[in-house]
Amino acid sequence: MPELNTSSLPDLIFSILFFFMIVTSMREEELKVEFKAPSGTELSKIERKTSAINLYIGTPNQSYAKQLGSGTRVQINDKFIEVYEVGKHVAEEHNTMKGDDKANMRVVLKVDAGEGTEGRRRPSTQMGVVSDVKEELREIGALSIMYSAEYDVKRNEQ
Amino acid sequence: MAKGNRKVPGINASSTADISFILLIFFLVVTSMSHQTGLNSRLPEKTEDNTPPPKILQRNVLAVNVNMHSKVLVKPGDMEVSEFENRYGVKVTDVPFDKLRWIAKDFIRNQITDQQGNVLMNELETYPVMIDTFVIWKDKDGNPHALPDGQPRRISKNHVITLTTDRASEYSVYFKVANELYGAYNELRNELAVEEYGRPYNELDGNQQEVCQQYYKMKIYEAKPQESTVNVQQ
Repeated sequence: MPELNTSSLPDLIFSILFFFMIVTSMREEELKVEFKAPSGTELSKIERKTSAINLYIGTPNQSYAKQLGSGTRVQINDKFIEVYEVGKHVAEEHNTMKGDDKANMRVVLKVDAGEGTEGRRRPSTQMGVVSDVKEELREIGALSIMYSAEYDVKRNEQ
Repeated sequence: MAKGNRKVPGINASSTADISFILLIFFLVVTSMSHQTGLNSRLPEKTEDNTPPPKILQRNVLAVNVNMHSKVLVKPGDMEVSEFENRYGVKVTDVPFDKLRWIAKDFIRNQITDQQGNVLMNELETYPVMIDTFVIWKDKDGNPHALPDGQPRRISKNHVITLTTDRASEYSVYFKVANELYGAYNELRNELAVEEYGRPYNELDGNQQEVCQQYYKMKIYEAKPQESTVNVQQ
């Protein structure tokens, strides 16, 4: 029986490897606040990841709770910011974008909806902070927003 | 020995496959193929503070409020509270999420339906004013698009849904309420699409979707917490 020629195997593997290297986006911010998305039914997908600016709003998670306490905080990229600075930081991010991304910028609000049941429950973020952030965004004209959420599997099956 | 005849030993390449396999597995693990999902929304443009708020008839307004205890309160147009509570089997001071969509759809269409979708009453005096409307949507090349039957439809063109929240109310409740209100519009557009084009809304082309959107324009106004910007005229 002739031996199977495996000399092209490395090339094959390499091409799959390149595919995954291109698809992978390594830039993921480190999550510094507690975040559990609410669930909904009327959701759409984000068109392009590169035109999105993520704003996390929630209480600092375990590694930061000691320094920062349990008040609601806003995180953009890797840092905590104050609510009144949101406009400035989003505008900065907007300026670093190019072409289509710049025109189609969308601010993704990742607001913590809380989790758990009564007793050991982490309450949801209050609307006061969320409204203040929205006012900040209106101020700089960043009007396209998205409330980050997950599909409500139970309701979609009904 | 002549220089040109020297034999160069071939590099053993049999392990490249293994090395690339390890790299491949690494990238497979790292890659997140999941897409971000969420509820798209558009904030109102910033207006000069000295412009007077628009005057709106009471019967055109469905006021939804999330209070400090995260309960959902509803003020349905000009309808008596007792009538509303009887029809929908809810208390106006604590409306459950699963009835909000039904209530909003009825309000936008100015109808009373039962839970199976049968129309019980039409064009109430206490619900939004209905106007015969014919929409022509022009795409970016200037070509007009309209519904296939070419007839005007009676819609509540000037209705408004206001969504107010208390600063201490929970975001999770606000989100669910917003989801239901958006859902009401999406369902109405879908019903219109099936009726007129014989296909669900998401199978229509862009211009057809735009026509459906023009008939059921989202009119959800969010006031800043604890301060109403809508002046209601009796």
